[in-house]
Amino acid sequence: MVRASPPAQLVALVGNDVRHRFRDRPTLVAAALAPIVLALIASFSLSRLTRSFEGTYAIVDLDGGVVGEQLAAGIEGDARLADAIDLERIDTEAEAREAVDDGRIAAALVIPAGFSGTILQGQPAAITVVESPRHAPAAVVAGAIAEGAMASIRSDQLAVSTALNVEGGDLGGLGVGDLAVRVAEVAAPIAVVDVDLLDAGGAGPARFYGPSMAIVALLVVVQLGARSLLEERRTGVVAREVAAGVRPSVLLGAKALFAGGLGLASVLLTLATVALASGASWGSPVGVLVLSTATVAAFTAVATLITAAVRVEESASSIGLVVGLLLALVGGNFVPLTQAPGFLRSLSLATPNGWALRGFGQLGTGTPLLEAVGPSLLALLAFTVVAGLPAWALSRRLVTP
Amino acid sequence: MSDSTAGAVLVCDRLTKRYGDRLAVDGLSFAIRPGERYGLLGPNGAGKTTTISMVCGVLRPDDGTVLVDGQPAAEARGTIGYVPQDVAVFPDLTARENLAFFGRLLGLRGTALRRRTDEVLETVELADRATDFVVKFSGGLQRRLNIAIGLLAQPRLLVLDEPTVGLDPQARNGILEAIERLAAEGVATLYTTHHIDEAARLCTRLGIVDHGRLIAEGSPAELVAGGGSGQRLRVAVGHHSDALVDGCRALPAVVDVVAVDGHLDLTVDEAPAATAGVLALAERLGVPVTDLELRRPDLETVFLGLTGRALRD
Repeated sequence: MVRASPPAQLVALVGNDVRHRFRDRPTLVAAALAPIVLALIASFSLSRLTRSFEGTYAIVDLDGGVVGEQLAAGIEGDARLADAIDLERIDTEAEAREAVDDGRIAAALVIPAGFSGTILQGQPAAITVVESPRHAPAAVVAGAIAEGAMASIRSDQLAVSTALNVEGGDLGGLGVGDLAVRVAEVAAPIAVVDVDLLDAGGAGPARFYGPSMAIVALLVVVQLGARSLLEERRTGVVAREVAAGVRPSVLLGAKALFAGGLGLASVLLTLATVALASGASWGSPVGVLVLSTATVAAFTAVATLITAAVRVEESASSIGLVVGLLLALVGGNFVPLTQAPGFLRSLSLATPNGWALRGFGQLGTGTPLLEAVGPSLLALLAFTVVAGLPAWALSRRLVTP
Repeated sequence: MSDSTAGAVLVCDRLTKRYGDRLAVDGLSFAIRPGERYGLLGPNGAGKTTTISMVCGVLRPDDGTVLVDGQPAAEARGTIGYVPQDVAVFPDLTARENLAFFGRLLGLRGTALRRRTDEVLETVELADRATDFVVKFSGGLQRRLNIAIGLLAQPRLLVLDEPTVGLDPQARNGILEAIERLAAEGVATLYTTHHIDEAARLCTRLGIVDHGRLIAEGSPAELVAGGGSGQRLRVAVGHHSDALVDGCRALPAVVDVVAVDGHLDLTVDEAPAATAGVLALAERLGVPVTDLELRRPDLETVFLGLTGRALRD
């Protein structure tokens, strides 16, 4: 008998996994139905969220200085905000609090007294948000506006600092007007990009929750693929395949391909469903595909590492669920990182989903493709390698004679 | 290669396997010739499955060699018909789809694959269930498919690890007949079983394994003949008594005593004297005797005598 070549065996193994798994209802539900349901739930709740943060917001300028006034005017003049919310001025913080409490306004931004002076001295300052627990989405939006405004000021401070540096630290008799001109001429050396909830023509929330739900679905699906090795080992199929002359590397490669393929199908299905349901878009399809593939590779490696280290199906399932939930929480799958505390944003960089969501957030914002997804791709590649190498070594022990 | 192994399809030479401190297989050597049906008999944990796994290249021996048609086991993978103890099939696929998958792994394609699939389905009498999903099969049909997959490679050596576990007598008989037909075609068979009657019927040669070592080898008739001239007295007792066991051992007509599942198996020189001695001893110790059976030596008594354990232990 002519022996099958390793590539032919690989094709046979992957093909059989596809056929076998697609007749297995739990896998079918997890791979196909779960992403669609998650996507629809996300789209539905997001449309409610979108409506819930519409309303009137207030600005309270207690500062009265040049910076405070420019900041307020900048918010009032933002075309994106104007499309989504109404703005009005209120004189005092107490009035704003009363208006928020009785529901006349959704939330208020308070520019504190002395704000301009603090900023002009190059010191950090903050805008206060007056919010109500009854209008949590509005509070999130107000926080995003405040964060965006402060990011703009930090950028300006950096520009001023750079302008002064150009002059060797000597103002050289420049007046404030001259300095403003000089500032305008100097491009900020860093881009402060805020992926907020209001961009992309009203489909902004779905732009976040689409990838977020896709990753949640991926966490489930990719584990099913990875665990199939343990199941086939338990039932004696792996031994039979090895006895048939299949090399361990071919067997593991087939399992990884199948788990990855299933995961990629799940991610793309979720994104497509969200796009259809909410009109969300992530710009370049190539960017979406590449970023999705990198995300799937990282999670396939992580899931394989868990299953290969645990070696028992039931335990792998439980531990995988806990790890998946933890990653989803820390990585920012449930709350946009732009609205999360600073430490959580830093912590999210220790998770593959944190990087993936960051990449998806950059897609379609007008940032050049490579610049948008490059850092995330590199980070995901690193996760794939770091988790994948031990996963491969441990998995080989499961199938090597 | 010695004369005794010349022409053998399978030669195992001083096979050894350790799991940590435990010696699972301890220097096992045997050979199987074409058409021979060789049975490995041994209690649970004796090392049968470990031996079979090494023969099929699924497990690497720590020491010793396995040659299949003169090739090391690792290189012979794909040419051995391996039927594992588990029903290693995909329940969500049909019988034909299962066979097609494993056939492709072996390098079969197109017409050749279809022809070979049909042949093995005929061999195990599953042709009429070829397109049924395996999940709907009875245990016996699943076992037959398990064997059919092992036959795909047209092996000269078929290795079956307890292929009749959990089957009713009719299903067992069907499988044994299929194996006998294959052996008649010249296929060498390495077989493990928990059923002594099955081994006695099927195997032309037996190796009795205990604690990883081959402790006896020969045809069933040779093993029984070599089991000694002593008769076997089986004494069923109401409850176990160590004093009775020890007392029996001390009787002059008794050669050996093994306590198994509520009865004592005694190897005796003089049956009347031994019977009288045992009954008197049991009465004195207050142990009720519920049955007495005098048996001529058979494969089971040989096995018990050699291992001190019943095969199902």
